[in-house]
Amino acid sequence: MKGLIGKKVGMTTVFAEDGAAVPVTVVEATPNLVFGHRTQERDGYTALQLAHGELDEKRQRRSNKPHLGEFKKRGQKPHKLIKEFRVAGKELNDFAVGSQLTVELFKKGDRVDVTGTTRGMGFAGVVKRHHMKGAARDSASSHEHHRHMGAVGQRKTPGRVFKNKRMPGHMGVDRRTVQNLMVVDVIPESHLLLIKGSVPGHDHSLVIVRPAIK
Amino acid sequence: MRSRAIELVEQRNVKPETRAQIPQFRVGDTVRVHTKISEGDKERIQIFEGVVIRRKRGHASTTFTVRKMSYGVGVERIFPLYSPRIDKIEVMTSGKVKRARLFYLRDLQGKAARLKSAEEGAAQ
Repeated sequence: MKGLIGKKVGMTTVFAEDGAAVPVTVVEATPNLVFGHRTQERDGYTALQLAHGELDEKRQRRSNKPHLGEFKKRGQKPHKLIKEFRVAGKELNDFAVGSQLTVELFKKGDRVDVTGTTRGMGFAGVVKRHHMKGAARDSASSHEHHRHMGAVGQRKTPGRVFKNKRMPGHMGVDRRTVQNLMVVDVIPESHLLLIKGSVPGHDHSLVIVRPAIK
Repeated sequence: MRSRAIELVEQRNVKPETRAQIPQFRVGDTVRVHTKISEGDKERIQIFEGVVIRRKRGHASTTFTVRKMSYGVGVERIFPLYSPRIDKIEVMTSGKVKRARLFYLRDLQGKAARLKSAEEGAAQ
């Protein structure tokens, strides 16, 4: 599925034509370079390799030689990141190597799936992590029990805690996809996409925007 | 810090000219909000007049709450300040208040729920 690599800028509210206030996430997708193709003959599958985030001179100095070499070899401008998008073989011809994909890949009203890395919550308790209710806030629940979980199992049978019992632990920093979000607006001059609703990740994090699969 | 891209999006959506047309008003002021209501394909203007009891700042999502008594029942409406559904806002009178949020008005009725006008308050 073709797509775009972009950066989550943040959220705001815009008013639709009928006056409804719409919550939107602003995604900035500077033109993605078509870095290369994966072909059936050579690689056994077909995909589009897109590069995102052109590197200025200073950033180039900071990147490593093998990474820069990949671009140099192909005579392309160095970019920060390369990602692959699975695409049907015949579709590959629509995206010539060296060309650019802009936000105009999408238009107003399109449905998209957005993939990102969720914000890290660290070691989170069961109330935040699994939406458990915790214990009463009042004095009936004793010392430091208010945000604890209840019982974790039964008695001698089964005599153990079941696997996958929801417990405290690390939360966030997971790859997540939100499906079927609407493109509210596209601003090609500034490479911006306005996507209705929220999108995984913190501001300035990388997101992948693809046409909705459902 | 707010990013430039966000500012740009908001500026495109709510033009500075439209923003400039919104009159200055404060909490405690009595305002008349003219809202556009569309019924089927017809559009008409409805007026909601009452006291501003809250202004909530939030760039594009700034809102204000207007409270009025309607047939003895308190009615509050929250308007997005920059909503295109608002035709215009008229400021009728200014009240002298000492708070940013006038939620105490909800517990008061009739004469007790009046506010001193700003001029009166200043004269004291």
